Amino acid sequence: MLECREISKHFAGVVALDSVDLTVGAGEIVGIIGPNGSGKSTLVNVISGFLPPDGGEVLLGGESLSGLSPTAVRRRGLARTFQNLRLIEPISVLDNLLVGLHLKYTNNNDRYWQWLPATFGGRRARQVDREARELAHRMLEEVGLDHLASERVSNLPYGQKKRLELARAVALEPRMLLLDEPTAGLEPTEAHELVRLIVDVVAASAERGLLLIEHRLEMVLDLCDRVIVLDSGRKVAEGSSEAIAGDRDVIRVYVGDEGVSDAAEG
Amino acid sequence: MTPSILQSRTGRAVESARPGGVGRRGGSRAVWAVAVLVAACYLAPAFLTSVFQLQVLTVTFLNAALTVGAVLALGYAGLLTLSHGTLYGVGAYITASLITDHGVPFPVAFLLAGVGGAVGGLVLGMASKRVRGDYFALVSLAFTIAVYELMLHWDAVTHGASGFFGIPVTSLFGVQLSGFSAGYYTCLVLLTLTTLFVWRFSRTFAARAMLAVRFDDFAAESMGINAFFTRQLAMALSGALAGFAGAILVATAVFVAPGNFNLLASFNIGLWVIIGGMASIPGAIAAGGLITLLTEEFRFLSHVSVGLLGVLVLIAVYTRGGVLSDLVADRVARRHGRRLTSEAPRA
Repeated sequence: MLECREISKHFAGVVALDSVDLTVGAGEIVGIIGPNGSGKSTLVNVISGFLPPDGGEVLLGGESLSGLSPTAVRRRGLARTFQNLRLIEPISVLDNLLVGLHLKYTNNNDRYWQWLPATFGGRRARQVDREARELAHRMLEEVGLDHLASERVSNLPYGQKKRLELARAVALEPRMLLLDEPTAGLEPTEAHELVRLIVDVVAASAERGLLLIEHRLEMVLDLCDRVIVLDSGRKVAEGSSEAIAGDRDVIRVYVGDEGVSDAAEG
Repeated sequence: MTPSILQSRTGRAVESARPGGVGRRGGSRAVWAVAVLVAACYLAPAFLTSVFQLQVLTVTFLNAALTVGAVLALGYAGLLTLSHGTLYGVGAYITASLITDHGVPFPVAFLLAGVGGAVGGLVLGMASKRVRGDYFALVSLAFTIAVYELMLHWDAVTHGASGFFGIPVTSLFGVQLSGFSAGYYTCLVLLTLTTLFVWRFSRTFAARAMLAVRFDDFAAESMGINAFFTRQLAMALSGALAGFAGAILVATAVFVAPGNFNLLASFNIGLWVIIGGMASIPGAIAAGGLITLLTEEFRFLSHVSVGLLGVLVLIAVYTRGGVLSDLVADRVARRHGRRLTSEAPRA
């Protein structure tokens, strides 16, 4: 599904990514762990088109994503969340989800002029609008936020914002989903609930690939089929959760004490 | 969940704001209030004997319509344009030139004025590819001054500083548009249609995309929204609405001169949108309309009014936008619990 070939990225002489190879198959959940500054977020930004790589290539379903804008990458079916939430805070929860559904109802097939019938009425346009709202409400129900549909996002507690961002990312049923530290900043119980949500909602589709960047070791080992360890931009280990979990030395050496203490906390 | 657990910022229980919930009742009250107000406006000439009052209201409606049009670019797409008055002028000059110098019938000139405004908006909008926020405001400032100079000095087309006088009486489908009460109704219809258009548009995916781009274009792009197209759409629509308003100005007033479209005109419209609460349609009508009404009615106080406007701007800045909208219009603006009005513009 997703394939990264020798991705490299430098920032003013600092090596952020050094020929990283990565594959995520259909229906597979792959986790990336590594200490701060190991290049995890840079990798997500390169894959999702927000940063151009200095070398290497990203392929989605065999098709190259090189040189595509984030918008174009999104249109090819790759969605992402952000480590620091990026919701549209001043508008309602429902409207945020409708923003997530934008592609489906407007320019997925270059329907740039959808606003014309929508503005000047027409039964068909009203029908589409009703459909979109119903779909949005259903998505909100799935993540347990439907009772807050008309609330302003800025009034939501952090944990619910995380849920909303997740719902917004899966709204269009992307074939590949990148989650950048989905549980960062959450209480252990909240984090646990979110993991359950990821399993229930996000990974529900058997076809969808999932790339997960995480700090919480326990969660990664629980959830992922395969784990990749990054350090200073290099891939230093890759294996099944069991193999990585069994090899505590790998973690101590490459993730450092932080990873071990994270594991203890989580 | 009981309402006390989670209250919206206005203190209203969340439950009541749900579509189809208790909030509906508040909505229908607002609909009645608007209906009464609109009816009053349409019946007013029957009771108004003073020609001066009629003219004041005519200008009020025209300015309110202009402000509503500017809401799309400023409030929705977040483009700090100081050129809305200029695009209004482009529409006015196109209409005046076509009907006086070229004998084009008014309906055709009206449409071309809208096209001209939209093209002007798109030209200015090109700058948004490179610059945002305050810098875009500076580019639009330059645009405004450049077009103003063009109006002043391109004598062959614009008739220079004196502009167009004695514009022929315009009519649409046999109905005369100029004259005191005809002008009143023409501007009122313009305001009604502009408001209906912007209101309907504000519920589309494109309008939501504009808000997404305004508040976080990074997130918008990750949602597959084309930020540049979205901004240009806002500029084109705003420009077209300004152009139509310009055509109506020509139809109802007897002369057009560069002085109507200087920097101050554009600046005022931007100010009204900000005071009205950026993305609030009722706020825009209230701010643009009321401030025009008060300035016209209290002309003898004109030396103070500039200072009063300054105070309003300060309040707008310190309350993070939306003075009028927070007091009055927000209750009307709230639909599906949406509350867009109290957010200051973001670069």
